[in-house]
Order: sequence, then structure tokens, then C-alpha cells
Amino acid sequence: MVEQARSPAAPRFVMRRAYRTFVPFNVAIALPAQLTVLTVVLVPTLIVAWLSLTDWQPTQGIPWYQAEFVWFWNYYDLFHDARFVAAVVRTLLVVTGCMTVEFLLAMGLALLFLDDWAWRKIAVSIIIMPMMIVPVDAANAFFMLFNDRGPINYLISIIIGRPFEFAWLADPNWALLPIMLSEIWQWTPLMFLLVLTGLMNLPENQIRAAYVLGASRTRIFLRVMLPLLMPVIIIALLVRSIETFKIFDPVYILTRGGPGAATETISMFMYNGAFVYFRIGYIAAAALMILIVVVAICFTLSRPLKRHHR
Amino acid sequence: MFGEDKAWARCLKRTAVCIAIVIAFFPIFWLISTSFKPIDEWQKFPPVWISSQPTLQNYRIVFAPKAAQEFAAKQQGAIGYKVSGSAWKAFGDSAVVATAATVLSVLFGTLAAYSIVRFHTGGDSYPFQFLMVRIFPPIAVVVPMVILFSMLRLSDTYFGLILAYTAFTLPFSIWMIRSFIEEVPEELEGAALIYGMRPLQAFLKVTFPLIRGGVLATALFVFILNWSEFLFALTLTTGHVVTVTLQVANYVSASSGKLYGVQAAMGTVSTLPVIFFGYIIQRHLVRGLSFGAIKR
Amino acid sequence: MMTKLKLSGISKRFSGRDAVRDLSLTLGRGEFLSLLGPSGCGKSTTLGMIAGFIPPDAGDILIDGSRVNELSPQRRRIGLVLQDYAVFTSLTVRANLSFGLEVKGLKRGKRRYAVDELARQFDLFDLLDRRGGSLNMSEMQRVALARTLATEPELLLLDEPMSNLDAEIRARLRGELRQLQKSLAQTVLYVTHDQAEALSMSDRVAVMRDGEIVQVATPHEIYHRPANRFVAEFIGDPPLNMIPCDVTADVATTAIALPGGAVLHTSAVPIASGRHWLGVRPHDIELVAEALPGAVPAPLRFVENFGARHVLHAEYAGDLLRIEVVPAARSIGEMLHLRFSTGRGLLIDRTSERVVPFRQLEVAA
Repeated sequence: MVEQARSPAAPRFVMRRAYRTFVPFNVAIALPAQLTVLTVVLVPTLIVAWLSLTDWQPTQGIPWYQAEFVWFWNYYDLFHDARFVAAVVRTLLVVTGCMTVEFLLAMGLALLFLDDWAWRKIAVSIIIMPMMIVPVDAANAFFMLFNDRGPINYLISIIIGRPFEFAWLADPNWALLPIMLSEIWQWTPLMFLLVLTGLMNLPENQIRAAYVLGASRTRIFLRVMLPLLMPVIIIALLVRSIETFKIFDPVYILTRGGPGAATETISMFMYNGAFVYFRIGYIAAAALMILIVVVAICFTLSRPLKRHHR
Repeated sequence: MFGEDKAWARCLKRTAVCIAIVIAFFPIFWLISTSFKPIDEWQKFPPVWISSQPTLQNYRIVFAPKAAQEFAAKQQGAIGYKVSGSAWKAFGDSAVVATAATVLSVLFGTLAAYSIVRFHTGGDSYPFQFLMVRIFPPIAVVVPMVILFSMLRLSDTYFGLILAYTAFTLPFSIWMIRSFIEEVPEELEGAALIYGMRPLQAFLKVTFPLIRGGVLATALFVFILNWSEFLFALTLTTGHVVTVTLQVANYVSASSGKLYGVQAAMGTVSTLPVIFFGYIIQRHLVRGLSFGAIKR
Repeated sequence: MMTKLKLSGISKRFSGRDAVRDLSLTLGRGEFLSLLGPSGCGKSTTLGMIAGFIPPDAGDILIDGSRVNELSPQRRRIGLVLQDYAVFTSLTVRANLSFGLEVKGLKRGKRRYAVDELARQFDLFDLLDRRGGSLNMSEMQRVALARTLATEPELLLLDEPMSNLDAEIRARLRGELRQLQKSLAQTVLYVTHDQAEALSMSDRVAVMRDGEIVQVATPHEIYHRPANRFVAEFIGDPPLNMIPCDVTADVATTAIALPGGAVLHTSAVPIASGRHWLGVRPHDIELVAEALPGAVPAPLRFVENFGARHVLHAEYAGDLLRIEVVPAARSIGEMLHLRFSTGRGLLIDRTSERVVPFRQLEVAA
């Protein structure tokens, strides 16, 4: 019933069943997961593809499959839609900004936690607390904090010595800051944990060897530790970038994308377009475009990653 | 690892850590503190750090419908607030949806992970297909999902939301459990097979007990994700199903006014399960959030 | 000979256990000294203290006469090669070799030249652009060694550098390493548990046990005049045979009576009468034809065939004796006749476990 596989690429044990089933056993048990994903992800994607070629709006009163076809005009319009382009650029800005700050803070913090000291474990537990707050609650907390008469403004007014009642969330230039800070506050601890884990798994002997060769701590960090940390750093940045790209909860809670469209990220743009302006067909085109771009990027990056994973 | 630090370097380090702790804790502190503030302290300036007249009124509004109605009646006319009913429904709905979605996700995920690890189902790239799901911005699928659900009569139903949650947490389930299964050598199941067990039996009797802790950690992790989810709850429901994340948003809205204290109370309570479970699985957080790529 | 390294009363305690106890040792310039002992005897801890990673609880470490206890490992000007070599896996071999030189601030041109020289010396030319993580064990060892020697350390510490290598490579490397050390006049402290390595390579051997140095001497001394039973049994392959015996000490002579009747005579040696042990090296036992005077019978139980020599295991006095002989055909159960008469032996005092070497006078008739 069990035989060793011949070729190195095949699994070591090739399991055979004693009974015949309609579908191979291993496929059958993977089916529930596969079907769920198919239903919830694949079918909607196909619908999106269809819709993107139409200009369906629910307010038109006709069912979606009878909507009028505008073919690729949606895409054309999107390219020329300043608001869409702004949303894309803004999202990329948010991602880059948040990633940079999160990474630097995380790395700095993790280095502080390298040695073992008395209340280290407790300190780690408190520092990772932001990660374990419901994102909506965190956003609400930041909403209260950045109130024009809230604690943040109060602290600033103490520092600069005169009253400060800036309406952060109503200012088109600055409203993005509380959103980014909320995201950074909540997810830096995650980066911190990932980097710390990476640091603790570093081969100590290589660091000792560098030490004996006379290297300073800076040199050891830059030339020995960082290269060894690269896999962990890349995974952390990748995972967080993807999640930050999808950012929605803080934007919705703090500004709804406003004032105007000043803080509209891609997710917010699509939400507003679909659930506020009801331009479903148009948004479907945006959705498909984003999907294709994101999947394409992941495909190009996945090749070196898969090789590394083996 | 680097030997003893000089005294001033150590002092600097400790200070930096203290600052980090304060920053990490401050917004949470503010949330909890606000939840105990009476209504006149919600928006007072200069801001009230810790209330001098702490009250449980906010919590009562959240949990007791009578208190909520009394409050609304009192404020009506004076300030004009309107408050929705008690939050028990939200907790109940969230519990139902999150638990059911977690069970399904972990169940399907374990089976799929087992299939992938032991049978190499779907080849090298199959697990990455599930990763794709996680890369999709949910908003992109939400619009057609609304349409699909309305066609399938799943709009604003528990099952619809559960289905959505299950699908979007499957990548975590599969990848996390996969990494746990990979740590158990195949030979153990092979030995069981030689004794005449069927493959699934071998898995359940031999490997599964060894990864029980990991599966539990995955379940708690997925539960946290489901409990905290907002976008699907916002778009796929229209009032019949209310999750805690929606309910929290209800207290600061055009119709309700700015009930910061009540919202803080709801926020504090709704976040408690997440903090609780989060600390239980603290060891496994790294593995989960890096999709099994990084292990302690 | 100038003293390069002096350890003076070093001790270290780890969670209630004494890892190293009041250890003192000196190492001369250009000397190759092995720290030999079984696992857990404290030799790696000692190395860690010399390197600077483990602060000693007490005692002084002096390099070239100056106390280095307070110096960090970076500043001690020592070289260290650990058991797993710790090659920088994410850097190329070239980067590994030039690491120490970069630290010293050598300019790029000079660095390149030095690295090329090292590559030539250690046969690393083909590997220069390979990633450290892609090398096999013996390549890593060469890189680790080259990398360390590039900085011209005052003292080179090696922690079991051969234990990760295959046996054939080890034999060849022993000679190469010793030659290299001699040509560079490099002071080396070599930690190992392999007594063959220690004996074949060192100028002196320090045997350690339970955190203390039991004996420091040349390999010849260690082998022929071990200080105590532990050293006697630890050194030598195959290991020493221990035979219970009755010693009668007289003014001018000492008689050693062995089970089975044979008696050895030797000149007076400082040991009291009574039951003691006789230590005989496997190659000091002679096989003779039947029933010669002084020969004892011992049935053959087992033969270890090493190709160029055989080690016979024969039963005697309730134990198995190991006898090293020239290969010949033998059958299990065959009765051998043994004579301990090659002239040298060791008496091991049963109580103090001190070793008393002796020279035989004559075989008693």
C-alpha cells in the first residue's frame, strides 16, 4: 500500500488507497477549501471582469447582466481620472511612508531587545499590544486623540508654548498624517516581532567570530547581521506592504477619504465609487486593473521567493 | 551577545524602551480612560487624562437597553443624541460569525494543508494560489460579492458573511497549519500505514495530536482576524447582521452624535477577546503573520 | 622562550557547578599547546575566557605580559576558530578573508593583494567568489583558518577544528596545520578531545579533567610518564591495559606478582606493598609460544582487524586485555600465551592513582 517514489521531485511516500473513489483522495480533501475560495474569490472576479466592460449603475433599474456595454471606455476614463490616479499615488505614498517608518522603528527597537535584561519579556508584551487591538477600535482611539481639542493638540501646545487647536482630520494637507500614524502605531510591533525573531535566530558564532576579528558593533551589524537578516526583512516588508496597500479601516473611520478626496486611498476610492456614487461598472474596471497589477507584481517577485523557500 | 554595555549606554537603552512602552500603551490607555468618563468630560479642554468622576454609565449604555433608552430620553432635546439598542446583539452576531468562520477555516485549512504537504497536491504553486487571496484588496471583490450574494440570497445573512470570512482566512489557516505539519516527519504516518491504517486515519491518529497546539493557535489567530474584520461586515450586511466592529462605529455617527465615552466603552470590551487570545498565542504570532515563513 | 600567554588561577562557576577550577598555564611564543580532555572538562570554557567571551570569576589572563581580563574580545588581538567555523555565510569567501583586513583599515589594493596571497596559501582560489554558505565543511575550515591568520593574531585559539571533518582529511590536515604553524611561528592553543591529534601535533600537551589541568608535558612524557591513572588511561590508542597485581616492595627491588603466576622484577620504586594496578600498553605485550617462563595463558575472544595491525582481545584475570600485534591468522578461542616483558611498565597506585613508571630487571625464572 505504500511505495517509495522514484523521482526526487515526487513526494517520498506515494499513498494509495484500498478503495476507489470518484475523485483522488488528496484532491477530495482539498476541495472544501478550494471551493470556498472559488466561490468567494474566483466567481466575483469573473463578475468584476464582466462588469468592468459595462457602465452599470444600480440606479438605472436594470439587472447587472443586462447593463449596456461600454467595452474599454471605463479603462480609458480611469487613466484620465485625476481622482483615481491621485488615489493610486496616495496609496503608494502611504505604503512607502509607513513601511519606512515601521521598519526603522522596528529595527531600532529590536536591537534594544537583543540582550537579556530583567523585565524584557514584560516590555515585549506591552510593546506588541497595539497589534492586538481591533483595528477599528484603534482608529477610533486615534480619532479621539487627534480631535482639535484632544490630547495630541494639548501636548503640542505645551511644547510650543501657545494654544494649538489644529483640526487634523479636516485639513486636506495633514489629514493623511493621523491615518498613517494610526497604521504605524498599530503595526510597527508586528515588524518588531518579526525582526526580533530574526535577530534571535542569528547564528551567534558568526557574530562572535566577527567580534574576535576586531570588528566594531556597527561593522558587525552592517556587514554580518543585516545580510543574515535579509530573508526575514524581505518577508516582513512584503507581508506588511501588501496589507498596507489594502488599507481601509483607518481611512474610513478617520476621514472617509475626505476632506473632499484628500485622503482617498485606493480602497476608499473604490468604496466611495461603489457605495456612495453607485458607479459599479466603472469601479469594477478599477478593481480589475488593481487586481491585475497586484497579481503581476507578485508573480514577478514570486519566482525568486519560491526558489528561496525550497 | 555583545558583552557588557557601558552605564550610560544602558541608561539610554532603558529610556528608549520606556518611551516605546508609553507610546504603545497611550492610545489604549486613552480608550480605556475615556470609557469611564462621564459625558461632560468626553470633549473637555484641557483634556481629562484620568476622570475625577469615573462612571460605569457608558458601559451600562452599551450593555443595558433600558439604560440606553433612559440616556437617549434624557439627552433628547438638550443635545439631541439618538442611541441604538444594546450591544448584546453585536457581541452575539460577532461571536456566531467569527466562531463559525473560524471552525470552517481551520477545518478546511487543515485538510487542504494535509493534502498539500503529504500528497504534494496541485504542485509547487498551489499553496501560493491561496496566498493570492490575501493579496487581493478585499474591496475589489466586495462589489461583485454583493451582487453574487444578492443573487444567491445570501445578502445580509450570517452564512454569507461566514463564507466570506472563511475564504479570506484560508490562506492563513493553510500556510500556518502547513508549517506545523511539515515539522512532523512523514515516516510516522508511513509507519501507521504499514500497520494497515488508511491515510486520513494515519494523519488523524498520528500527526494531528502532535500539531494540536499549532492548530489551536491557528484557530485563535483566525478568530482574531474574523472578530476584527470591518470591510466585509460593512458592505455585506445592511442591518440584520451586526458585528462589534460595526456597532462601535455606530456610536459616533451622524444619527447618533459623538458618543465618545460609549464608543470607548464598546471599543474596550470588544477588543478584550482579541487581546486575551492574542497573548495566549503570543508565541505563534510570528509564524502566523509571516505565513509560516518565520519560526522562533 | 618568551611567554605569550599566561593563565594564573583562572576559575569559572556556572549555576552551581565548577567549570574551571584554579587553572594555571603558560604558553611560550611560537609554541603549539594542546588542551586535551574529555567532553565537559572545561576546555572550551577556558578558551572562552582567553578569548574574552566569558569573564573569569577569579584569576588573571596575561597576553605578552599584560593583563587582558578587562579587554573585550575585539581588542585582545587573538585569533579564534570555533568548532563550526562560523564562516560568514552571507558573504563571499573573498569578503570573509578580507574582513579582518578591512577592520584594520587596509586600503583596497593592499587588501586584494593580501587576500590573493591567502587564497594561494590555503588553496582557495577557485572558491573566492563563492558564497560562504555554499561551502562544504573542509572548505569552511580553510576559510576560517585563513580569515583568522590574515590578521596575524598574537595567539591562535582553535576549538576542535577537526571534529567536523572526515577521518581521511583529518590525518592529512594534521601535518599541514603543524607545518603551517611552524612556518609562521604562530603561537597556538589547540583544544581537542582526540588524544591522537594532541600527541601528534603539539609541542606540549595539557590534559584537563573536571576543570583542572592534570598534567602538562611533552607528548613523549605524557605517553610514557603519565601523572596519574586518568592520563594513563586517556592517552593511547588502543587504551592501556589495567591488570590487578600484588606488589612486594623491598629495599633494592620490587616484585610485581600477576594473576596466573608470572612475576616481574624491577628496581626499587616509590610504591608501597599491596594490591595495585599494572598498566601495560597493548604493544608492550608479547605473544610467545606455549608455556615459557613468565608467560600467562589467555584465550582469544575477539580480533580487531585494522589492516596493518591487529588488536587482539584476550581474556585474562576476569577482564579483556588488548594486544597489538602484527597481522596473522588466528582463531577465536585459541589459547594465547602472553608475556609482559618488553621492559617498560607503569605501576598505578590503587589509592592515590599516581603512576609510577618502572624498568624491568629480568624475567623471573
